[in-house]
Amino acid sequence: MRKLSNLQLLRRLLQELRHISHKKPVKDNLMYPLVMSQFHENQLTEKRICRGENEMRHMALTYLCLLESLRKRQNISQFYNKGEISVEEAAKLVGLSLPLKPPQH
Amino acid sequence: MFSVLRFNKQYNLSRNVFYNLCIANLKYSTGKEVKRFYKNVTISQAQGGFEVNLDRVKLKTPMGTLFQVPTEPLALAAASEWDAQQKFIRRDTMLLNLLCNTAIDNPTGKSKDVVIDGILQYLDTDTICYRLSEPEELVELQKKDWDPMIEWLKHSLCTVDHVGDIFQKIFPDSKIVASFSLSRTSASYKISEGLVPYFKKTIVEDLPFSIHSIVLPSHSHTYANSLNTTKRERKTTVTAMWNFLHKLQPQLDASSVQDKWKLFQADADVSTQDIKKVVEDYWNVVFQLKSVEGINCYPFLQLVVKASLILAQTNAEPERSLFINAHPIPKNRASLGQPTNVGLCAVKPQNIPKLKLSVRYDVIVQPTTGIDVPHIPETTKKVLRQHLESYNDWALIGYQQAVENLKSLILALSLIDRHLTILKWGKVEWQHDLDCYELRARISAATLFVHLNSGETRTSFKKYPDMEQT
Repeated sequence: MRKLSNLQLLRRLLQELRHISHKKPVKDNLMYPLVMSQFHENQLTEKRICRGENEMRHMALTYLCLLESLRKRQNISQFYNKGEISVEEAAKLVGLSLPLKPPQH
Repeated sequence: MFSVLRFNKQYNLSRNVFYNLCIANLKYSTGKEVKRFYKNVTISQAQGGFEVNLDRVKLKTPMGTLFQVPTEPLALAAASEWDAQQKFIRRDTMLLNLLCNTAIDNPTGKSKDVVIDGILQYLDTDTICYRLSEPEELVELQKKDWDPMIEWLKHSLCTVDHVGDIFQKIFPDSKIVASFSLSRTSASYKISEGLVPYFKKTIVEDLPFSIHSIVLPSHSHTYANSLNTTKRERKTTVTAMWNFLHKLQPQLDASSVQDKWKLFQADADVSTQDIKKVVEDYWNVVFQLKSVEGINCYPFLQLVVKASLILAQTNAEPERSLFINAHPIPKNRASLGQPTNVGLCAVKPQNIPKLKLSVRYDVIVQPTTGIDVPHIPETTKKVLRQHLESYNDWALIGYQQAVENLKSLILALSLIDRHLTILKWGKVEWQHDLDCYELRARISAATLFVHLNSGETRTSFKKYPDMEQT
Protein backbone atom coordinates (compact mmCIF):
# COMPACT_ATOMS: atom_id res chain seq x y z
CA MET A 1 0.00 0.00 0.00
CA ARG A 2 1.41 3.34 -0.93
CA LYS A 3 2.32 5.69 1.85
CA LEU A 4 1.27 9.18 0.92
CA SER A 5 3.14 12.06 2.38
CA ASN A 6 1.05 15.11 3.24
CA LEU A 7 2.35 16.97 0.25
CA GLN A 8 1.47 14.14 -2.11
CA LEU A 9 -1.94 13.96 -0.54
CA LEU A 10 -2.49 17.65 -1.08
CA ARG A 11 -1.39 17.42 -4.69
CA ARG A 12 -3.72 14.54 -5.44
CA LEU A 13 -6.60 16.36 -3.80
CA LEU A 14 -5.94 19.41 -5.93
CA GLN A 15 -5.77 17.21 -9.03
CA GLU A 16 -9.19 15.86 -8.23
CA LEU A 17 -10.52 19.34 -7.64
CA ARG A 18 -9.07 20.35 -10.98
CA HIS A 19 -11.01 17.52 -12.63
CA ILE A 20 -14.28 18.64 -11.21
CA SER A 21 -13.65 22.29 -11.95
CA HIS A 22 -13.66 21.47 -15.67
CA LYS A 23 -11.73 24.22 -17.36
CA LYS A 24 -12.15 26.85 -14.70
CA PRO A 25 -9.02 27.50 -12.64
CA VAL A 26 -8.83 25.34 -9.55
CA LYS A 27 -8.52 28.35 -7.28
CA ASP A 28 -12.08 29.31 -8.16
CA ASN A 29 -13.36 26.01 -6.89
CA LEU A 30 -15.47 26.15 -3.76
CA MET A 31 -13.45 23.60 -1.85
CA TYR A 32 -10.06 25.04 -2.65
CA PRO A 33 -9.81 27.66 0.12
CA LEU A 34 -11.14 25.18 2.65
CA VAL A 35 -8.64 22.49 1.71
CA MET A 36 -5.70 24.88 1.72
CA SER A 37 -6.66 26.48 5.02
CA GLN A 38 -7.11 23.10 6.68
CA PHE A 39 -3.71 21.93 5.52
CA HIS A 40 -2.07 25.13 6.70
CA GLU A 41 -3.75 25.21 10.07
CA ASN A 42 -3.14 21.62 10.96
CA GLN A 43 0.58 21.55 10.42
CA LEU A 44 2.45 20.82 13.59
CA THR A 45 2.81 24.30 14.97
CA GLU A 46 3.30 25.80 18.36
CA LYS A 47 -0.40 26.42 18.77
CA ARG A 48 -2.30 23.57 20.30
CA ILE A 49 -5.12 22.63 18.00
CA CYS A 50 -7.52 20.03 19.24
CA ARG A 51 -8.11 18.47 15.88
CA GLY A 52 -4.72 16.93 15.30
CA GLU A 53 -2.78 16.46 12.17
CA ASN A 54 -3.83 12.83 11.93
CA GLU A 55 -7.47 13.73 11.94
CA MET A 56 -7.06 16.18 9.11
CA ARG A 57 -5.03 13.66 7.20
CA HIS A 58 -7.71 11.04 7.59
CA MET A 59 -10.38 13.44 6.44
CA ALA A 60 -8.26 14.46 3.46
CA LEU A 61 -7.72 10.82 2.51
CA THR A 62 -11.43 10.14 2.80
CA TYR A 63 -12.33 13.11 0.63
CA LEU A 64 -9.69 12.10 -1.91
CA CYS A 65 -11.13 8.60 -2.00
CA LEU A 66 -14.62 10.01 -2.53
CA LEU A 67 -13.65 12.26 -5.43
CA GLU A 68 -11.40 9.68 -7.02
CA SER A 69 -13.94 6.86 -6.82
CA LEU A 70 -16.71 9.02 -8.25
CA ARG A 71 -14.55 10.09 -11.15
CA LYS A 72 -13.37 6.56 -11.95
CA ARG A 73 -16.85 5.18 -11.72
CA GLN A 74 -18.04 7.89 -14.08
CA ASN A 75 -15.24 7.08 -16.53
CA ILE A 76 -16.00 3.38 -16.56
CA SER A 77 -19.73 3.80 -17.00
CA GLN A 78 -19.28 6.38 -19.75
CA PHE A 79 -16.88 4.12 -21.59
CA TYR A 80 -19.01 1.00 -21.50
CA ASN A 81 -22.49 2.33 -21.32
CA LYS A 82 -23.36 3.70 -24.71
CA GLY A 83 -26.96 4.27 -23.74
CA GLU A 84 -30.08 2.56 -24.82
CA ILE A 85 -30.43 1.46 -28.39
CA SER A 86 -33.36 2.64 -30.46
CA VAL A 87 -36.34 0.46 -31.43
CA GLU A 88 -34.97 -0.02 -34.93
CA GLU A 89 -31.64 -1.28 -33.67
CA ALA A 90 -33.35 -3.64 -31.25
CA ALA A 91 -35.41 -5.10 -34.09
CA LYS A 92 -32.33 -5.51 -36.25
CA LEU A 93 -30.73 -7.58 -33.53
CA VAL A 94 -33.26 -10.34 -34.07
CA GLY A 95 -33.29 -9.91 -37.82
CA LEU A 96 -36.56 -8.09 -38.17
CA SER A 97 -37.32 -4.67 -39.45
CA LEU A 98 -40.01 -2.23 -38.55
CA PRO A 99 -43.25 -2.29 -40.55
CA LEU A 100 -43.63 0.43 -43.19
CA LYS A 101 -47.37 0.88 -42.92
CA PRO A 102 -49.18 1.41 -39.67
CA PRO A 103 -51.35 -1.58 -38.64
CA GLN A 104 -54.92 -1.31 -39.93
CA HIS A 105 -57.77 -1.90 -37.57
CA MET B 1 -39.09 50.44 -21.61
CA PHE B 2 -35.66 48.85 -21.73
CA SER B 3 -35.39 48.79 -17.98
CA VAL B 4 -38.76 47.03 -17.72
CA LEU B 5 -37.59 44.42 -20.24
CA ARG B 6 -34.40 43.83 -18.33
CA PHE B 7 -36.32 43.37 -15.10
CA ASN B 8 -38.62 40.85 -16.72
CA LYS B 9 -35.70 38.93 -18.08
CA GLN B 10 -34.10 38.63 -14.68
CA TYR B 11 -37.38 37.65 -13.11
CA ASN B 12 -37.92 35.01 -15.74
CA LEU B 13 -34.40 33.75 -15.34
CA SER B 14 -34.70 33.08 -11.64
CA ARG B 15 -38.17 31.63 -12.09
CA ASN B 16 -36.70 29.35 -14.70
CA VAL B 17 -33.97 28.30 -12.32
CA PHE B 18 -36.48 27.63 -9.57
CA TYR B 19 -38.65 25.58 -11.90
CA ASN B 20 -35.68 23.53 -13.00
CA LEU B 21 -34.69 22.98 -9.41
CA CYS B 22 -38.10 21.52 -8.68
CA ILE B 23 -37.75 19.14 -11.59
CA ALA B 24 -34.24 18.18 -10.64
CA ASN B 25 -35.39 17.46 -7.12
CA LEU B 26 -38.20 15.18 -8.13
CA LYS B 27 -36.31 12.00 -8.63
CA TYR B 28 -38.60 9.99 -10.76
CA SER B 29 -40.54 12.80 -12.41
CA THR B 30 -39.72 12.28 -16.06
CA GLY B 31 -37.33 10.04 -17.90
CA LYS B 32 -35.60 13.09 -19.32
CA GLU B 33 -32.38 14.24 -17.87
CA VAL B 34 -32.24 17.72 -16.47
CA LYS B 35 -29.62 19.98 -17.91
CA ARG B 36 -27.43 22.10 -15.77
CA PHE B 37 -29.52 25.22 -15.42
CA TYR B 38 -27.35 27.34 -13.20
CA LYS B 39 -24.00 28.93 -13.67
CA ASN B 40 -22.64 29.61 -10.23
CA VAL B 41 -22.97 27.84 -6.94
CA THR B 42 -22.31 29.70 -3.71
CA ILE B 43 -23.02 29.22 -0.04
CA SER B 44 -24.44 31.70 2.41
CA GLN B 45 -24.93 31.78 6.11
CA ALA B 46 -28.41 32.21 7.53
CA GLN B 47 -29.90 31.90 10.96
CA GLY B 48 -30.47 28.16 10.91
CA GLY B 49 -27.17 27.26 9.33
CA PHE B 50 -25.46 27.35 5.98
CA GLU B 51 -27.36 27.29 2.71
CA VAL B 52 -26.44 26.53 -0.86
CA ASN B 53 -27.44 28.91 -3.64
CA LEU B 54 -27.70 27.92 -7.29
CA ASP B 55 -27.42 31.25 -9.10
CA ARG B 56 -30.02 33.20 -7.17
CA VAL B 57 -32.19 30.39 -5.93
CA LYS B 58 -31.74 28.70 -2.59
CA LEU B 59 -31.38 24.95 -2.75
CA LYS B 60 -34.23 22.87 -1.42
CA THR B 61 -34.50 19.22 -0.46
CA PRO B 62 -36.66 16.79 -2.48
CA MET B 63 -39.45 17.21 0.03
CA GLY B 64 -39.40 20.97 -0.36
CA THR B 65 -37.77 22.14 2.84
CA LEU B 66 -34.94 24.61 2.76
CA PHE B 67 -31.52 22.98 2.54
CA GLN B 68 -29.64 24.01 5.67
CA VAL B 69 -26.59 22.38 7.16
CA PRO B 70 -24.99 23.16 10.50
CA THR B 71 -21.33 23.44 9.48
CA GLU B 72 -19.56 25.39 6.80
CA PRO B 73 -17.28 22.63 5.44
CA LEU B 74 -20.30 20.42 4.89
CA ALA B 75 -22.10 23.18 3.01
CA LEU B 76 -19.03 23.78 0.88
CA ALA B 77 -18.71 20.09 0.05
CA ALA B 78 -22.39 19.86 -0.88
CA ALA B 79 -22.11 22.99 -3.01
CA SER B 80 -19.06 21.68 -4.80
CA GLU B 81 -21.00 18.54 -5.71
CA TRP B 82 -23.58 20.70 -7.46
CA ASP B 83 -20.79 22.64 -9.10
CA ALA B 84 -19.17 19.45 -10.35
CA GLN B 85 -22.15 18.60 -12.52
CA GLN B 86 -21.38 19.08 -16.16
CA LYS B 87 -24.00 19.12 -18.86
CA PHE B 88 -26.62 16.99 -17.18
CA ILE B 89 -27.47 16.70 -13.52
CA ARG B 90 -26.57 13.29 -12.17
CA ARG B 91 -28.13 12.88 -8.76
CA ASP B 92 -26.31 9.62 -8.13
CA THR B 93 -22.95 11.38 -8.01
CA MET B 94 -24.09 13.80 -5.32
CA LEU B 95 -23.65 11.49 -2.37
CA LEU B 96 -23.15 14.08 0.35
CA ASN B 97 -26.26 15.90 -0.81
CA LEU B 98 -28.16 12.66 -0.55
CA LEU B 99 -27.06 12.23 3.05
CA CYS B 100 -27.89 15.84 3.90
CA ASN B 101 -31.34 15.51 2.35
CA THR B 102 -32.00 12.32 4.30
CA ALA B 103 -30.92 14.03 7.50
CA ILE B 104 -33.09 17.10 6.91
CA ASP B 105 -36.20 15.35 5.58
CA ASN B 106 -36.07 12.13 7.56
CA PRO B 107 -38.40 10.47 5.05
CA THR B 108 -38.74 7.22 6.94
CA GLY B 109 -39.50 9.10 10.14
CA LYS B 110 -37.12 7.09 12.27
CA SER B 111 -36.14 8.32 15.68
CA LYS B 112 -32.60 8.18 16.99
CA ASP B 113 -33.24 5.02 19.00
CA VAL B 114 -34.66 3.16 16.03
CA VAL B 115 -31.65 4.11 13.94
CA ILE B 116 -29.25 2.90 16.62
CA ASP B 117 -31.18 -0.35 16.94
CA GLY B 118 -30.87 -0.83 13.22
CA ILE B 119 -27.13 -0.24 13.31
CA LEU B 120 -26.61 -2.58 16.24
CA GLN B 121 -28.46 -5.35 14.41
CA TYR B 122 -25.58 -5.45 12.00
CA LEU B 123 -23.34 -6.58 14.82
CA ASP B 124 -25.11 -9.93 15.00
CA THR B 125 -24.19 -10.68 11.43
CA ASP B 126 -20.96 -8.75 11.26
CA THR B 127 -18.77 -9.76 8.36
CA ILE B 128 -15.65 -9.76 10.48
CA CYS B 129 -17.10 -12.37 12.75
CA TYR B 130 -17.92 -14.84 10.04
CA ARG B 131 -14.86 -16.82 9.19
CA LEU B 132 -14.42 -19.64 6.78
CA SER B 133 -12.67 -22.75 7.90
CA GLU B 134 -10.99 -23.57 4.60
CA PRO B 135 -8.82 -22.98 2.50
CA GLU B 136 -5.92 -22.56 4.86
CA GLU B 137 -4.55 -19.44 3.25
CA LEU B 138 -7.88 -17.69 3.52
CA VAL B 139 -8.12 -18.58 7.19
CA GLU B 140 -4.66 -17.17 7.76
CA LEU B 141 -5.48 -14.03 5.85
CA GLN B 142 -8.67 -13.52 7.79
CA LYS B 143 -6.81 -14.02 11.04
CA LYS B 144 -4.09 -11.61 10.04
CA ASP B 145 -6.37 -8.82 8.88
CA TRP B 146 -9.49 -9.18 10.96
CA ASP B 147 -8.22 -10.25 14.38
CA PRO B 148 -6.39 -6.97 14.98
CA MET B 149 -9.66 -5.18 14.40
CA ILE B 150 -11.38 -7.12 17.13
CA GLU B 151 -8.45 -6.43 19.44
CA TRP B 152 -8.66 -2.75 18.65
CA LEU B 153 -12.35 -2.81 19.43
CA LYS B 154 -11.69 -4.21 22.87
CA HIS B 155 -9.21 -1.54 23.77
CA SER B 156 -10.61 1.51 22.14
CA LEU B 157 -14.13 1.49 23.46
CA CYS B 158 -13.87 0.01 26.91
CA THR B 159 -11.18 2.36 28.13
CA VAL B 160 -13.36 5.31 27.30
CA ASP B 161 -16.54 3.96 28.80
CA HIS B 162 -15.35 3.61 32.37
CA VAL B 163 -14.74 7.30 32.60
CA GLY B 164 -18.47 7.64 32.94
CA ASP B 165 -18.39 5.36 35.97
CA ILE B 166 -15.57 7.32 37.55
CA PHE B 167 -17.53 10.51 37.17
CA GLN B 168 -20.51 8.89 38.80
CA LYS B 169 -18.42 7.99 41.81
CA ILE B 170 -17.02 11.46 42.17
CA PHE B 171 -20.37 13.16 41.81
CA PRO B 172 -22.88 10.57 42.96
CA ASP B 173 -25.77 12.94 43.25
CA SER B 174 -25.54 14.66 39.91
CA LYS B 175 -28.24 14.03 37.35
CA ILE B 176 -26.10 15.14 34.45
CA VAL B 177 -23.40 12.65 35.28
CA ALA B 178 -25.90 9.83 35.52
CA SER B 179 -26.59 10.08 31.82
CA PHE B 180 -23.07 10.39 30.48
CA SER B 181 -22.40 8.72 27.20
CA LEU B 182 -18.98 9.09 25.75
CA SER B 183 -17.44 9.17 22.34
CA ARG B 184 -13.98 10.19 21.43
CA THR B 185 -14.29 13.96 21.32
CA SER B 186 -16.76 14.31 24.13
CA ALA B 187 -14.71 11.93 26.24
CA SER B 188 -11.61 13.95 25.73
CA TYR B 189 -13.45 17.12 26.63
CA LYS B 190 -14.86 15.57 29.78
CA ILE B 191 -11.52 14.16 30.82
CA SER B 192 -9.57 17.33 30.28
CA GLU B 193 -12.12 19.72 31.72
CA GLY B 194 -13.63 17.56 34.43
CA LEU B 195 -11.44 14.76 35.64
CA VAL B 196 -8.02 16.26 35.29
CA PRO B 197 -8.45 19.34 37.48
CA TYR B 198 -9.97 17.13 40.17
CA PHE B 199 -7.15 14.62 40.15
CA LYS B 200 -4.41 17.11 39.74
CA LYS B 201 -5.62 18.91 42.84
CA THR B 202 -5.68 15.75 44.94
CA ILE B 203 -2.31 14.58 43.69
CA VAL B 204 -0.69 17.91 44.35
CA GLU B 205 -2.13 18.03 47.85
CA ASP B 206 -1.09 14.48 48.70
CA LEU B 207 2.32 14.13 47.21
CA PRO B 208 4.49 16.54 49.18
CA PHE B 209 3.56 14.71 52.35
CA SER B 210 3.93 11.14 51.26
CA ILE B 211 7.13 9.25 51.81
CA HIS B 212 7.69 8.37 48.22
CA SER B 213 7.62 11.77 46.65
CA ILE B 214 10.49 13.16 44.70
CA VAL B 215 10.75 16.84 44.08
CA LEU B 216 12.27 18.59 41.15
CA PRO B 217 12.89 22.28 40.80
CA SER B 218 10.06 24.28 39.47
CA HIS B 219 10.06 25.86 36.08
CA SER B 220 6.46 26.84 36.04
CA HIS B 221 5.71 29.96 37.94
CA THR B 222 1.98 29.64 37.74
CA TYR B 223 2.23 26.17 39.12
CA ALA B 224 4.33 27.39 42.02
CA ASN B 225 1.75 29.99 42.84
CA SER B 226 -1.06 27.55 42.78
CA LEU B 227 0.39 25.46 45.60
CA ASN B 228 0.41 28.33 48.03
CA THR B 229 3.34 27.05 50.05
CA THR B 230 6.03 28.88 51.94
CA LYS B 231 8.76 30.58 50.08
CA ARG B 232 11.35 27.92 50.87
CA GLU B 233 9.16 25.13 49.61
CA ARG B 234 8.28 27.09 46.56
CA LYS B 235 11.81 26.55 45.35
CA THR B 236 11.13 22.91 44.78
CA THR B 237 7.53 22.62 43.84
CA VAL B 238 7.11 20.51 40.72
CA THR B 239 6.33 17.06 42.01
CA ALA B 240 6.73 13.84 40.15
CA MET B 241 4.29 11.00 40.48
CA TRP B 242 6.58 8.64 42.27
CA ASN B 243 3.92 6.10 43.09
CA PHE B 244 3.34 5.59 39.44
CA LEU B 245 7.02 5.20 38.73
CA HIS B 246 7.34 2.76 41.58
CA LYS B 247 4.90 0.46 39.89
CA LEU B 248 6.94 0.55 36.75
CA GLN B 249 10.05 -0.78 38.34
CA PRO B 250 9.48 -2.17 41.80
CA GLN B 251 13.09 -2.99 42.40
CA LEU B 252 14.05 0.64 42.37
CA ASP B 253 14.62 1.64 45.94
CA ALA B 254 12.67 4.76 46.70
CA SER B 255 14.47 5.78 49.82
CA SER B 256 17.97 5.47 48.44
CA VAL B 257 17.14 7.63 45.47
CA GLN B 258 15.47 10.15 47.68
CA ASP B 259 18.52 10.28 49.92
CA LYS B 260 20.76 10.97 46.97
CA TRP B 261 18.47 13.77 45.85
CA LYS B 262 18.51 15.36 49.27
CA LEU B 263 22.28 15.28 49.34
CA PHE B 264 22.45 16.84 45.95
CA GLN B 265 20.04 19.59 46.88
CA ALA B 266 22.01 20.39 49.99
CA ASP B 267 25.14 20.84 47.96
CA ALA B 268 23.86 22.52 44.88
CA ASP B 269 22.94 26.13 44.76
CA VAL B 270 19.48 25.89 43.33
CA SER B 271 17.73 29.08 42.45
CA THR B 272 14.47 29.36 40.67
CA GLN B 273 15.58 32.45 38.86
CA ASP B 274 17.56 30.67 36.23
CA ILE B 275 15.63 27.57 35.31
CA LYS B 276 17.86 26.84 32.42
CA LYS B 277 20.86 26.54 34.71
CA VAL B 278 18.95 24.26 37.05
CA VAL B 279 17.93 21.90 34.28
CA GLU B 280 21.43 21.89 32.91
CA ASP B 281 22.87 21.13 36.33
CA TYR B 282 20.57 18.24 36.87
CA TRP B 283 21.12 16.94 33.43
CA ASN B 284 24.85 17.23 33.37
CA VAL B 285 25.57 16.05 36.87
CA VAL B 286 22.82 13.95 38.36
CA PHE B 287 21.53 12.13 35.36
CA GLN B 288 24.95 11.26 34.11
CA LEU B 289 25.57 9.15 37.18
CA LYS B 290 25.91 5.58 36.17
CA SER B 291 25.95 2.49 38.27
CA VAL B 292 28.79 0.01 38.37
CA GLU B 293 27.53 -1.79 35.26
CA GLY B 294 27.36 1.40 33.29
CA ILE B 295 23.59 1.78 33.28
CA ASN B 296 21.98 5.09 34.07
CA CYS B 297 21.04 5.42 37.70
CA TYR B 298 17.92 7.44 37.19
CA PRO B 299 16.24 6.39 33.94
CA PHE B 300 12.80 7.18 35.27
CA LEU B 301 13.73 10.55 36.60
CA GLN B 302 15.08 11.40 33.19
CA LEU B 303 11.74 10.48 31.77
CA VAL B 304 9.91 12.59 34.26
CA VAL B 305 12.02 15.65 33.52
CA LYS B 306 11.72 15.12 29.83
CA ALA B 307 7.99 14.71 30.12
CA SER B 308 7.67 17.97 31.95
CA LEU B 309 9.82 19.89 29.52
CA ILE B 310 8.68 18.74 26.17
CA LEU B 311 5.53 19.10 24.14
CA ALA B 312 3.76 15.75 24.03
CA GLN B 313 3.84 13.84 20.81
CA THR B 314 0.14 13.47 20.86
CA ASN B 315 -2.29 16.26 20.24
CA ALA B 316 -4.89 14.55 22.36
CA GLU B 317 -6.31 16.98 24.82
CA PRO B 318 -6.64 14.61 27.78
CA GLU B 319 -3.07 13.39 27.58
CA ARG B 320 -1.65 16.83 27.49
CA SER B 321 -3.83 18.12 30.24
CA LEU B 322 -2.68 15.28 32.49
CA PHE B 323 0.88 16.52 32.38
CA ILE B 324 1.81 18.35 35.50
CA ASN B 325 3.31 21.05 33.44
CA ALA B 326 0.26 22.22 31.60
CA HIS B 327 2.27 24.72 29.65
CA PRO B 328 4.80 22.71 27.75
CA ILE B 329 7.98 24.18 26.31
CA PRO B 330 9.08 26.84 28.73
CA LYS B 331 10.39 29.95 27.08
CA ASN B 332 14.04 29.27 27.57
CA ARG B 333 14.09 25.67 26.55
CA ALA B 334 15.59 26.74 23.29
CA SER B 335 18.58 28.07 25.13
CA LEU B 336 19.43 24.81 26.86
CA GLY B 337 22.93 23.65 26.29
CA GLN B 338 23.95 21.03 23.84
CA PRO B 339 24.63 18.14 26.22
CA THR B 340 21.23 18.74 27.80
CA ASN B 341 19.49 18.67 24.47
CA VAL B 342 21.34 15.57 23.43
CA GLY B 343 20.45 13.98 26.71
CA LEU B 344 16.80 14.93 26.30
CA CYS B 345 16.66 13.40 22.88
CA ALA B 346 18.37 10.26 24.04
CA VAL B 347 15.82 9.58 26.74
CA LYS B 348 13.39 7.04 25.42
CA PRO B 349 10.79 5.09 27.35
CA GLN B 350 11.49 1.89 25.46
CA ASN B 351 13.38 0.12 28.19
CA ILE B 352 10.64 0.37 30.73
CA PRO B 353 8.85 -2.92 31.36
CA LYS B 354 5.23 -2.66 30.28
CA LEU B 355 2.63 -2.09 32.93
CA LYS B 356 0.10 -4.83 33.19
CA LEU B 357 -3.05 -2.87 32.79
CA SER B 358 -6.07 -4.47 34.26
CA VAL B 359 -8.66 -3.50 31.74
CA ARG B 360 -12.16 -4.73 31.93
CA TYR B 361 -12.97 -6.41 28.70
CA ASP B 362 -16.53 -5.43 28.33
CA VAL B 363 -16.46 -5.54 24.60
CA ILE B 364 -16.26 -9.18 23.60
CA VAL B 365 -16.78 -10.29 20.07
CA GLN B 366 -16.02 -13.87 19.17
CA PRO B 367 -15.54 -14.83 15.56
CA THR B 368 -17.31 -17.96 14.40
CA THR B 369 -16.99 -20.39 11.58
CA GLY B 370 -20.12 -21.91 10.18
CA ILE B 371 -23.63 -20.56 10.07
CA ASP B 372 -24.18 -19.90 13.77
CA VAL B 373 -24.76 -16.37 14.90
CA PRO B 374 -21.87 -15.28 17.13
CA HIS B 375 -22.82 -14.77 20.73
CA ILE B 376 -22.57 -11.10 21.63
CA PRO B 377 -22.90 -10.45 25.35
CA GLU B 378 -25.25 -7.74 26.59
CA THR B 379 -22.46 -5.61 28.00
CA THR B 380 -20.91 -5.31 24.55
CA LYS B 381 -24.17 -4.08 23.13
CA LYS B 382 -24.57 -1.63 25.99
CA VAL B 383 -21.12 -0.19 25.44
CA LEU B 384 -21.65 0.14 21.72
CA ARG B 385 -25.07 1.68 22.20
CA GLN B 386 -23.62 4.30 24.51
CA HIS B 387 -20.92 4.99 21.99
CA LEU B 388 -23.45 5.47 19.21
CA GLU B 389 -25.71 7.62 21.32
CA SER B 390 -22.99 10.16 21.65
CA TYR B 391 -23.25 11.04 17.98
CA ASN B 392 -25.85 13.57 16.95
CA ASP B 393 -28.77 12.79 14.65
CA TRP B 394 -27.07 13.87 11.50
CA ALA B 395 -23.90 11.97 12.14
CA LEU B 396 -25.95 8.85 12.81
CA ILE B 397 -27.43 8.99 9.31
CA GLY B 398 -23.89 8.85 7.97
CA TYR B 399 -23.09 6.01 10.37
CA GLN B 400 -26.09 4.03 9.18
CA GLN B 401 -25.05 4.45 5.58
CA ALA B 402 -21.51 3.31 6.35
CA VAL B 403 -22.67 0.23 8.23
CA GLU B 404 -25.19 -0.73 5.56
CA ASN B 405 -22.61 -0.52 2.82
CA LEU B 406 -19.87 -2.26 4.73
CA LYS B 407 -22.25 -4.88 6.16
CA SER B 408 -20.15 -4.73 9.29
CA LEU B 409 -20.39 -2.56 12.38
CA ILE B 410 -16.83 -3.24 13.47
CA LEU B 411 -15.40 -2.00 10.21
CA ALA B 412 -17.54 1.12 10.34
CA LEU B 413 -16.40 1.77 13.91
CA SER B 414 -12.75 1.46 13.07
CA LEU B 415 -13.15 3.61 9.99
CA ILE B 416 -15.00 6.41 11.71
CA ASP B 417 -12.68 6.33 14.68
CA ARG B 418 -9.88 6.87 12.21
CA HIS B 419 -8.22 3.57 12.93
CA LEU B 420 -8.43 2.61 9.24
CA THR B 421 -8.35 4.57 6.02
CA ILE B 422 -10.32 3.68 2.92
CA LEU B 423 -7.52 3.84 0.40
CA LYS B 424 -5.98 0.84 2.07
CA TRP B 425 -8.66 -1.61 1.05
CA GLY B 426 -8.10 -4.00 -1.78
CA LYS B 427 -10.39 -5.40 -4.39
CA VAL B 428 -12.18 -8.70 -4.63
CA GLU B 429 -11.07 -10.72 -7.62
CA TRP B 430 -14.28 -11.17 -9.49
CA GLN B 431 -15.95 -7.98 -8.46
CA HIS B 432 -16.33 -5.32 -11.06
CA ASP B 433 -14.25 -2.22 -10.67
CA LEU B 434 -17.46 -0.32 -11.05
CA ASP B 435 -18.92 -1.88 -7.92
CA CYS B 436 -15.68 -1.35 -6.08
CA TYR B 437 -15.60 2.35 -6.83
CA GLU B 438 -19.28 2.71 -6.10
CA LEU B 439 -18.81 1.12 -2.70
CA ARG B 440 -15.74 3.20 -1.92
CA ALA B 441 -17.52 6.39 -2.90
CA ARG B 442 -20.51 5.60 -0.72
CA ILE B 443 -18.40 4.67 2.28
CA SER B 444 -16.14 7.71 1.99
CA ALA B 445 -19.17 9.95 1.69
CA ALA B 446 -20.67 8.39 4.81
CA THR B 447 -17.45 8.70 6.82
CA LEU B 448 -16.93 12.27 5.74
CA PHE B 449 -20.51 13.08 6.65
CA VAL B 450 -20.05 11.71 10.16
CA HIS B 451 -16.83 13.63 10.69
CA LEU B 452 -18.13 16.89 9.26
CA ASN B 453 -21.09 16.71 11.58
CA SER B 454 -19.36 15.84 14.80
CA GLY B 455 -16.04 17.62 14.90
CA GLU B 456 -15.19 20.72 16.87
CA THR B 457 -12.24 22.95 16.48
CA ARG B 458 -10.71 25.02 19.20
CA THR B 459 -7.43 26.83 19.02
CA SER B 460 -5.84 27.62 22.35
CA PHE B 461 -2.66 29.56 22.42
CA LYS B 462 0.27 28.49 24.51
CA LYS B 463 1.04 30.90 27.32
CA TYR B 464 4.56 31.43 28.40
CA PRO B 465 4.95 31.54 32.18
CA ASP B 466 6.28 34.79 33.44
CA MET B 467 9.78 34.00 34.60
CA GLU B 468 10.90 37.35 35.82
CA GLN B 469 8.91 37.43 39.04
CA THR B 470 10.30 35.91 42.23
